[in-house]
This record gives sequence, C-alpha cells and structure tokens, in this order.
Amino acid sequence: MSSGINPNPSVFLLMLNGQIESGEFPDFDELYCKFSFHHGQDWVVTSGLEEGISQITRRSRDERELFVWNFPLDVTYKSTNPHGWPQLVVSCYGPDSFGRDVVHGYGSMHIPMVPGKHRVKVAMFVPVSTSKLQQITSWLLGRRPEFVDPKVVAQGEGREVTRVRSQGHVTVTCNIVTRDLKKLGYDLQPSDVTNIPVATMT
Amino acid sequence: AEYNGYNQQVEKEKVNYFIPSSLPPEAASKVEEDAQPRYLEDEGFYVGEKPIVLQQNTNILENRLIKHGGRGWFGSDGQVDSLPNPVAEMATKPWVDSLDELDPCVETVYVKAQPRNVNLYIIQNQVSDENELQIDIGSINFIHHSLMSREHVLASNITMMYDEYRMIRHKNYITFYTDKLAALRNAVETLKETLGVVKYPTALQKSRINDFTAEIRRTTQQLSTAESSERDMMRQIINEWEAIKSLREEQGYNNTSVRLVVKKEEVNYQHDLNNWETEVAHQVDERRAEYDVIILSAHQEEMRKYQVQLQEWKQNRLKMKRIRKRMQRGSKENLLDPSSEVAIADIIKPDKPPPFDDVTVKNEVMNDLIVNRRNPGEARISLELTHTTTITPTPSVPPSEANRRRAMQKTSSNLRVLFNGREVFQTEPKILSSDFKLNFGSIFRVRIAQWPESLKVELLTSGLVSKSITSTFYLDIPPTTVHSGNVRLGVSGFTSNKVESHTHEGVGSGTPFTLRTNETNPTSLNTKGQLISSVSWSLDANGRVLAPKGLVEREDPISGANPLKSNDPVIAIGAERLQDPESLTKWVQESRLDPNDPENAALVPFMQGNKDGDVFLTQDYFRLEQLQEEFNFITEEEFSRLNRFRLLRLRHEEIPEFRNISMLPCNEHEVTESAFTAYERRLKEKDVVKMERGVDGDRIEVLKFRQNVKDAVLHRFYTSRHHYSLQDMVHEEQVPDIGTLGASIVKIAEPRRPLKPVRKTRKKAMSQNLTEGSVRILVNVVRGYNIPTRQASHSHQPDRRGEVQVGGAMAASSLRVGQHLDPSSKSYLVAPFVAASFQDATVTTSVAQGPSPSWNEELQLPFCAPNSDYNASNLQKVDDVLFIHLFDRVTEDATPTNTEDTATIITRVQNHWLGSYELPFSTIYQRGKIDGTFKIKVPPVLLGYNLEREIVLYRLKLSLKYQSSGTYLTIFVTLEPVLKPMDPPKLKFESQEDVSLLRRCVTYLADCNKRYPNRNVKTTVIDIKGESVLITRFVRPLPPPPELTEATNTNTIITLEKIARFVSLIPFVSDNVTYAGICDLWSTCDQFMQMLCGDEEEHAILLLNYFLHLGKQAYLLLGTAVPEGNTAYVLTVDHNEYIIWNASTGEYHDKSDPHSPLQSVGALINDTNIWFNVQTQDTPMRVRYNVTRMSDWKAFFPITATPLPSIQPESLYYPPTDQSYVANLIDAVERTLKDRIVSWRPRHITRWNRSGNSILRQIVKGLEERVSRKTGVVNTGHNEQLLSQLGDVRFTGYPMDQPYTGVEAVVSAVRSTEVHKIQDPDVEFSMAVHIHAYPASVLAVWVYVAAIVNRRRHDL
Repeated sequence: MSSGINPNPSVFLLMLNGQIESGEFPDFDELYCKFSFHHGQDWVVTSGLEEGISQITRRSRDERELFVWNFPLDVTYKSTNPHGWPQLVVSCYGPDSFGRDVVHGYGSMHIPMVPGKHRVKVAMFVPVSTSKLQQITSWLLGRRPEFVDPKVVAQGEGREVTRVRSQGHVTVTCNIVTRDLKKLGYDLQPSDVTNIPVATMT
Repeated sequence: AEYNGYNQQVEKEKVNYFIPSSLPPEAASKVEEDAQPRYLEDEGFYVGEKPIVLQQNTNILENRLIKHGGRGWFGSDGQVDSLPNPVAEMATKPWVDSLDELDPCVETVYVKAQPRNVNLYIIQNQVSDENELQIDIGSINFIHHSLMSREHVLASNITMMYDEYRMIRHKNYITFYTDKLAALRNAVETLKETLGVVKYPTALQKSRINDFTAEIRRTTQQLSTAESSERDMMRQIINEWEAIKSLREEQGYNNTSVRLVVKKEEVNYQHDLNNWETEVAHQVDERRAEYDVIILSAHQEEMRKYQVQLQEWKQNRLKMKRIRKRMQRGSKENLLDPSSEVAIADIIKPDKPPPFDDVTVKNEVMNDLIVNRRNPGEARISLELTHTTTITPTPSVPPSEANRRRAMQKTSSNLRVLFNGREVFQTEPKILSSDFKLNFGSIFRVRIAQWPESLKVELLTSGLVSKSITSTFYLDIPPTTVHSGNVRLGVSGFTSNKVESHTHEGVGSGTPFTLRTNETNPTSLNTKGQLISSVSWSLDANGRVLAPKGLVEREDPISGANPLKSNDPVIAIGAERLQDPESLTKWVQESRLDPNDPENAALVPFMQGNKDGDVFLTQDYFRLEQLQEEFNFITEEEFSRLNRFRLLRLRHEEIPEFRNISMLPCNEHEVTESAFTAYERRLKEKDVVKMERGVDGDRIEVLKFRQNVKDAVLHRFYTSRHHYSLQDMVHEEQVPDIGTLGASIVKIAEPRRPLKPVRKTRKKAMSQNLTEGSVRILVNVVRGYNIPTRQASHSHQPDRRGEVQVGGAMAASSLRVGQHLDPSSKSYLVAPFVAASFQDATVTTSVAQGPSPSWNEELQLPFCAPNSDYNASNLQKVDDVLFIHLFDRVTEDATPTNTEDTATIITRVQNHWLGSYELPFSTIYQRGKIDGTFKIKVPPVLLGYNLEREIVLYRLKLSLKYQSSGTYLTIFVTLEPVLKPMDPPKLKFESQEDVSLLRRCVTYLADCNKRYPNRNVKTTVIDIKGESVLITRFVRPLPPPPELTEATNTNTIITLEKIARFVSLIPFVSDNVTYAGICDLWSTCDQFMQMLCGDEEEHAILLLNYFLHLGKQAYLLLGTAVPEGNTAYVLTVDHNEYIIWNASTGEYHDKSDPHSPLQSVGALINDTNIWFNVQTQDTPMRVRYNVTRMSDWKAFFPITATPLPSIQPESLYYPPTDQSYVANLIDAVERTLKDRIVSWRPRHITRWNRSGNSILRQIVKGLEERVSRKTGVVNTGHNEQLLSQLGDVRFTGYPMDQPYTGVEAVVSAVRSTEVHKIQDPDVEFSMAVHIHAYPASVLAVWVYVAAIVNRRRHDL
C-alpha cells in the first residue's frame, strides 16, 4: 500500500490547533466567548469544530487582569483554492453591571498561512449606538447594539455603515500545519531570506 | 511669582524667542556677498525636479537657517542645497507598533564597538561581498579655469571649434552630396535619352523625371548649405586663430601650444572653371525645367480653361442676340433682362507668365555659387590644429604671467568619490598641466553592501592652506548590463560656481574680464570641465557580473537603471499617451526639454530628429496600457482557455449553474468539460427558443422586451444589494415610546391564561444545513366537497337507443362509464382520490367514496433545489408547480364475458381525471403554509360525470349561483422543515413623486401598519423602470377591445364576464419567479399587454380599468387570498351588489360567498384615493364597503382631490392577431400532442379515431364561446348527438382550456389528465385543438382529448 503521500494531490490541507488563550477587557468581570470559522466556497472542514462556545471566566485578581479561557481550537480544512482563506471570528459576551448578557466584542483573524506557531492578538470591538438617547436606553434595557451576524466582521461588505468602539484584546495561539500546498504551487514560505538586500551599511 | 503685564510678556518673548518669518527671505542674504544668484537651469544645466514643499515652510526653514548664519546651506541659486531628489526611497526605521512584541528583524542588539580602519577603500561587508562597483577615473579637462590666461581661453574656444569642424569634416557631407548630385543627373540624362526614343512619354516616366528633378533641386540646396556652413566654420576658426595670434603678439609670449595650420591644395583653374560652368549650366537647365513644369504647365491649364469659358460666352452671346432679335418683334419688356446677360467680367484671360529669363537666372545661380561654393581656382583649404607652438618659458614672461604660472603649479586637485553620501576613496592629488588637464588614470573598486543610490564626485582643489571643494557632480549608477568588460569611458560635465579673481594674468572664474582687446563688453566665465571616467560592475573570476540582483527592477531615474528606459524611451517618461512619433518629435522640440536631464535622455533622439532632414521614427505600434501585460496573472488567451479559470470566473459572476459550486478542483485537468454542458445547453436553448418562435414577430418582440426589463431590474437589484444600511448590519433596539411602554405594562398586568394554547413557531432551517432530500413538501388532504358523480350506469340495459331518448340533455346516455359494476359498488357514485405531484414524484391518497369524501391523509413529496442550492435567493427562483389532481378510480371487469372460468375475475383499474389544482412552489415557500378550501379546476365538460349538484345550501342570487358551484378540496400544504424565505429587500427606489407626497406615504403606511399590521395596503409601488409611483396613478379608464363589448349590452354581466375572461387569458407569471423575489413590479397596462404576462396586480389593474371604462363603480381591492397571499382583486359595486373579481382566473364571487378565495380586505383603491380598512372585521363578507364612512375607511387624501395624472396611456392598441399564425399554431400543437401521446405509451399501439377527431373538432370550436359567456349550464346536448354517430363507444375525455404560453405548457396539461394511461387494448384516441384568438395575440387554447373504446367490438 502507498504510504499515504500522493504525488499529485488535488487538495491541500490546513490544520490549526491552538487555543483562545486569554482576553484583556478592562471594566468587565465575567466573560465568555464564542468562536466560529468563516471560510470561502472552496473550503471544507474535514474534522474539528467549526463553532464553539467557551466557559465563563472571571478576571484574574492580579495586575494583569486577564480573562483566561484556554479554550482549545482544533480544526482541519481541506481546500482547493486559497481564495477564501478561513478566518476565525471571535465574539465575547458577558453580563453587564445589571447582570444581563451583552456583547463585549467582536474580532476576527485569518488563520496564519505560514506553518509554525503563531500568537495573534485579535482586537475586539463592538458597534456603538447611533445616538446618545439610544445609548442610554440600550444601557438601561441591556440591549446593546449587536451585529446581525457575527460573521460580518470577517467581511468587508457593508462595514462602512457601522461605527464601532474598541473593547479589548483576545490572544489566540495557534499551531499551523499545512500539507501539499507547495505541491499545488502555492509557496507560503517567505522567499530566500538571505537574498533580501538589507538596507544597512557597516 | 510676580505678575507681568501682557505687554511686558510680549517684550520679554521678543527678546528670547525667535519666530521665523514665513515671508520669503532676501535673496542676497542667501548667497555669497557681492554675488548674484545663479540660475543653473538657464545656463543649461540639469537641476532636477525637487519634491513639492509648501512655500511657506520653505521660507520658515530658510529664515531659520539665515538666522543661525547658515549661508553654507544654500546653493549658488539661492535654494537650499540638496540632492537632486532628497526624498529617501526607503524608510530608515521600520514602524514598530507594540513594544513587547518586537519583530526580531528590527530589534536593537548590542554590538561591541570595533575600531574602524578609515583608510580602507573597500567597504566592509559581511552580508555579501558580491556587489562590486568599478570606477575608472581617467582625466579631467577644464574648459574654463580660473587660472587660465586669456590666451588659454581663446585656445580652449578654438579647440572646441576645431573639434566640431573635424566632426563635420569627418562626415564629409560635401563629397556625399556632390556624388549624389552627379548620380542623379546621370539618371535624368539616361531617362531623357530613352524618352527621346519614345515619342510620347508616359505619365509614369514623366513623373519619374519630375521626381528626379525635385530630388536634384533638394540635393543642390543641401550641398550649398553644407559647403557654406563648412566655410563659415573655417572662417570662424581662422578668426579665432587670428585673435590668438594678435594676443600673442600683443603680450609678447606664448602661453599655449595651439597652432593652426592652414593647408591649401592647389587646383587646376581651367578644370575648375569647366566644372563650374557645367554646374551653372546644369543649374540653369534645371531651373528652366522646373519653370516648365511648375509655371508653364499651370499657365497652359489656365489658358485651356479660359478658352473653354470664352467659347461658352461667345455661344451664349450668339444665343442672346438671336433671342433679342425675336424679342424686338414681340414685346419690348424682355429686352432689358439683366439676368440673361452673362458677365464677361467673370472670364479673365490669365496673364501670361513672364518668360524664362536665361540671363537673370544664370546671374542668380552664379551669385549663389560664388557665395556658397568654392570658386574656380580657389584653393581647397583644410585646417589642422596642432600643438607645436613652443610655450615661452617662465623666465621670459612678464611677472604677472609668471605669477599665474606659479599659482598653477601650486594648485593641485584631486577627486573624492562618495557612495551614498559616504566617502569611499580619494584620488592622488594632481597638478594642473599647462593645458589645464588633470590625469588620474586610476581604477577603484568599491564593494558595496548598501543599495546603490548615488555616486557623488567632488573635485577638491588644494589651496595654500586647505582643500576646498570646487565642484560636485554625480556619476550614474550603471545598469547591471554594464560591467568592466564592456564599459567605455564617458564624459560627464561639471561646473563650479566659485567666484575667483586673481591679481595675476589668470582671468578668474565668475568675474568679468575682457577677452579681446577690441571688445567692449567684458566676458564672465565659470569654471567648467569634463571628467572622463567610467563606472561599471566588476566581473568575478567566472565572468559573472557582481551587481545587486534587484537593480534591474528598480525604478530609479537618476541611476538610469530603469529597465523600461532601455526598452522604450517613450514609456519611461510616462508619455504613453503620445502614440504618434511625429507629434512626439514635435512636442519634444516645442517643449524645449532640458537635454541634460537624465530623465529626458530617452528623448534626445527626438530632439535631434530633424537635423539631417529625416524624421526620427519609432516603431509604429499603438500603445494602450502597455504595462498591463506585466501585471497580468496569465495571458488573456490562456485565461479564457483554461477551464478552471473559466469556472472561477463564472462562479464569481454568480451564474446560477455555478454559483454554488464548492471545492472547485485545484488542477486544470480535474475540471471536466461536462461541468459546462448544462450552462452551454441553456445558452443554446435561449437561442433556440427565439428560433422556434420565429414564426411570429410579436412573440419575439415580447421575449426581447421581457428579457430587457428583467436584465435592467436585475442589474438595478444587484447594484443596490451591495448597499447596506445600518439596519442590515447592526441589530439595535429602537427607543421605546409611550405606546410600546404602555403595551408592555399592560402585558404585565394581563391575567395569565395557562389553558390557552400559544402557537409555537416552528424552527426555521438554515440553508447551509440542508442537503439533498432533507426537505419535503407536506400535503395534508383533508376533505373534498361536491365532487362530480358518475352518471348512472346502463351497462346491462340492452336497448341503447331507448337510453338515448331517456337521457335527455344532461344524461350522456351513450357514455358507458363504470360498467359491470358490482352491485355493491353501485351504492356510491364516485371513488375519488387525490394525487399530488411535484418534480416528477407523485403520491396518492387512498381511495375514498362518495362526492364528499374525507381523506385526512398526509402526503409527503421530496423537494430538491436546483443545483442543490438551498440559499434563499435560489429557492426564490424555483418555478416548479405542485399539482393536486383529483381522480376517480374506476374498477371495471376486464374478464371477457364469454370465458368459462368464472372463478377468476380480472378487473381493470382506471383513473379518471376529474380536475386539478396548481400551487406554485414559490407561493408555498413565501407563505410557509397554505391552508384552506380551494376550488378545483374542473373541465367544463366532463364526459360521464354529473358536474352539477343541487346547490341550494346558500341563499345566493341567481346570477351568482353557478360561480359558487364547483368542486372544492380542503388541503394544508407546508414545507418540512420550514425554509426561511428571503427577507424582502428593503430597497430605496428613486421616485419622481413629490417629496411631501412620499413622506405622507410613509406616515400613512406606518399608521396603517400600526393599527392592523396584517392588512395588505400599498401606497407606492415600483414600476417597470424601478421607480416608486403612487398606486392611484395606475388607475385610469381604458377601453377594452371593441370585439368584446360590441353586440352585447355593455352593462350586462355577460360583457363583464367576457372581459374578465379576456384578462384572465393573459398568461400569469409571478413576479417572484421572474424577478427572483427581488421586488413586486407593477407594469402599466400597455406594458402588460405588450409583455403578455404579469401577476395578480397587472391583471387586476387591467380589469379595473376596463370596468371603469364601462362606467362601473369599481375599486382595486388589496387583500389576502388563498393561495396567493397578498394579492389584488377587483371589486365592483352595483346596487348593493358587491362582486369580487379574481382577475387572473376570471372568476367572480359575491362578497358573501363562503368559498371565495379572498380572505381579508385590506384597502380599496381607485384613481382618486386609497382607503384603508379600519373596521374590526376584514373578511369580505362582513366588511362595509362604503368608503365615505370615515370610521370604516381611512383615506390617504383627506379630501378627495382631482386624480393625479395617470401613468397609463390614454388608450390601448390591440393589434389584430394573425390568423394564419394561429392556424399554424393549432397544427403545431396538435402534431406535438399526438407525437407525445404516442411516446407516452411505449408499450401500446396508439390508434387515432379519425371520425372522433372531426367530431371533437366541431365541439371544441364552440366551447370558448360558451365558457366566456358563462351560461352556467354546459350544454352537452349536441355532443351526444354527434357521439351517437360513432356508435356504441365508451368514451373518456375532457376539454381543457388555458391561456397560451407555449406548446410545452399544453403538453404537460394534457399529460396530467393521464388519459394516455388507459390500458384497454382496444382503446382509440381522439383529439382536437382549437385556439381562440383574441386581439393583441391573447390566445385561449382548447384541447379536447378523448379515449374511445368501441363497445360493440368489445361485446362481440
């Protein structure tokens, strides 16, 4: 039997495992996060979870004030076309000061393309209310403005009508393994590092 | 602290602060004292283009520099001294955005300090030792130097002139032109000789001679110019030499070794004279020839014309005379007719040109020759500049000159080369030679690690104490192709702006002096010189060029390494719009580009273009986005050829077949050709459809029109779909007002009712979770009403004749249906069952009994979306139809009666179609569920069945009785799981309505929706152009086709029925299907008639407009109905009789008809107003239709104003339908149907009963007339009469009618009746097709199909 290595592959594989490590959100005490992957038409999840929701975590009682989730991500993609490279969409929710569940941030990142270990800091943001009055009522009623679909943060279309405010960061670490990309002609490694003319003179 | 007043503060600040002024500083303060700013550009030097800096900022900077005494910052031109382009191309420091995650590439690393050997020429470089520049410094020639004496200046001048002279001499134009002239003349001679033989030269030969003479003339001219310019040059040199000589004499010593030797070549005077005379003769001849050609022939031409005109005039005059004579005899009045006089003044005899004057011409030629050419006997002079004069030794010159020479000897100069602004080496200092040359002759190699940006050369002059920079200039970084193997020494000029003046004989630099004694104006010259040098890339031992790799790609105008420049100079300067080389040349010459600007180097050929008389031509191709090719991914050709890219592109364009392809293959060879077959077939079919309909011009027009409208609407939709509003993106709670707050409070206070069930909404399935086969259509068939019953069976009665008499009009006695029924089966009249078919799948209920059966069964039908795409936008377009057929199951004994085996009874089961009901999938999908009792469409004649049952259940008016009759089914249809219908796109369409009107619409709608959110009301609708139009503008009385109204009283119900029938025959196509759920488009009546398709509202509007024209009181009724949902009906009011018309079916109901499909009344509309139903009840039965009651109806316009101008046309044009086309169509339909029926019965022989055909044809022709009249009782009397001629037959068949949309629609309707499924071996078929043509190509298709079993044969 063959050893499983196909000399003429027709798909390439992209494997991500890692975790949504922690978040930095000032002014909140408890948070949980949801994640989902957003990908193009030529991508198929072969194994792993495409969507998930984490436990609720409390802010650490030290000067770092971290929200640690350590929520594992493990997904393997099969694809034929790098267009529509998968993106991780993270949205954080948590109770506000009245104990109502409100959104505390949306953020997205592309899965790193280069194999290896990556640590990505995802900036999180929320849409803001259209007027002061709405801001007050949304605060009173605990109905903050939310994106209709969290996946809009992975798309460019329609974003121009929204106004957002930054909320914090989420740190995601991921290990990337790819297979057969180079055989299909997609070279993701940076070209020969030594040949880059360096603008230093000694 | 102590308080100081404001003024004091200002005073203090004035002392301590310096605020640079933003006004331009004085020019004088920027340059050296007593020097004027120079303008290098005016002197012909390239200065480059500096980046644009705000003048204000420049001024502030300059003022600040001046304040701190920084005169050295300024160049001689008064500008801040800077590189030609001081903008660095690369950021020196990469951007760091966060400190804790620093990129290791740019991290600061501690490195121990190392002592650096400054003497090293070679740049240390650990990264790469590959890049090496080789700089060859040859020598420097000073054209002017401050230490030059006047004699030197003159010598320098004469040297330059001599160089030029030598150049001209080298090219030897004179000999060239002389030879050319001789050759040309020879050619003319020979040509003339040959012509002499031939008496009449042809035009070609003549023109050749003319060409030659013209060429000779030109060459003569050129020869003269060349010779005279050479003579001028010589004269100048000799003048200069004279000046030198006089200067030497004057000063009494020689400073330069220059010496001009004039060589004279003695010539033979006689020979010369001969030559000269021949030349003169030649030229005179040529001029004469030219005169002949140009002037004489022209004159002859004119003369000829004159003669002709004169002749005409003469003839005219003769005629006039004759007329006049005749006139004298007659009336005298015509005598003085001025118009008859031809003005003789118009005919002017052309002047004879002056004759060719040999003497003058000869004199001219001779003068010309004397001035421009060497005269006979004049010696041939050639000049030679030698350096043989001995320079007077220093002791014997005056002290001032001796001082100069001493100063010269003291002056030594060297060159310093700076690479990227850092010194890399200096040459040895050299002392000026007496001819002002510096010979270095040294080669330097520079290893570089940095990107080559500039190579600067500084000329240092060492004075008595220190070195000073005389001049700085730049050398070009060579392109990688230039290496030490192929490089040539080049000349680069430099200049110095240093002002020097000397007490000795040296003329100085930048200071005025008198060059010649007789000159009054002093000359001032700046130090100027040329460096002869070369820069190249080194070669290593293997002959490899040691140049940085990326250099070629770099676009650096200074270095000249721009690869484009070497290819196409015109592109490189960005003048790609100049496609015409000639106009480019012109432009270059007109715009006076700086030839020293390296940017313009490419254009220099164009500048010199016309010097030699020939136009510089580049390749004559057309440039359009010539750079695009380099950015192309692959070539366009390949892009269209490769299937994978084609797939990707088609998917991107959202072509339906490809939109949902996922995992598109990665490799080209994995894409099969079959991927495109469906798409290509569709494209082909599109064309074929047009071909097929080619018979009829109207239909093609209609198709085109529909396609155009659809394209326009889709385009508008797709562009607007990508415009998002905040509501599409962000979900935000609205600010609650008092009403909603109050409602929520009330809700809290509401008593809890735990026993009241709350309807739970089913979860809607997301489209991505759906797969093939996971969606089903559920059809719950509850019960049926009033199903046609079989007519009494007469099988066992032997006397068939008698039966005919007994049967009468209603009982079709000759029809033998359900014969041999068991005695038990006689107890019921019909055995109906329901078959639901969708997408080739059919399921049936069990067989029930009796005319009012109750099934209560759930049927499941699989649903597959096209291309397995369950997206809302795709599902919207599904145009499949759910058919619900009602059949009667007839079991008959198939055992031959004469067999002896009585134990075996063979029965044959036959399904007789009774009627059907169609439900488009789009309706189910949009509405989620369809629930109600629907009228089954039953053919008007159902042979063997009793259609009419005594309907006395409802006390209806007699005229409406028959409308309420009919067969009904109660069904419930839904999808499992519920698919999420596409959200109606909230599109803001443009509108030409008044803004206040639109605002009123919005508030009116909001108000209505708040009170009764489920009631259907519209104020503005979208017309076919995609603009919002007020709905009342659609209402306008329009005359129906005259054929429908004539002959009958216009006000009877029959006319209305006819009109409704006509309207309902216009094919119905839902906007949901046509426009893919984008929007509901309303077309005007003329557009509707033109397109011949539309949905409820178009039909309703047309019907309403017809009714209004007939003077009826009618309204457009917006409401909800089953199965359509929100729909539009027409309401007519006639003496408290309210009739609701369904315009798309032509049916009408009384308002109190319980079987009316209309479920609720939302609004009434006519041409003046819109009324919204604000009554608590909205069922048509209970609504009060008096719109004047304010408490019942909310009007859009509070006061009924005059109607707004309508967008409908004044009248409709009904083109008569082409009868021959209809006849052809009948033939085509009939043929197709017959073929199809045969093909549906592959295992049986299909026989056609010809006599049956002809009978049916007669019947079918009359059907339209009767149906449109809706006389209620379908009189089949004469059917029987005709059928009796066929003898004893068993007959199953139905006439069907439908609007004509296409042959396929007719075929599928016939197929659904399942007539062809009759298994009887003796069956024969009959069929007749009739198309009733209404005006404007509205066609009603009637098909009468019948299966005939000859009973007699069977019995025998």
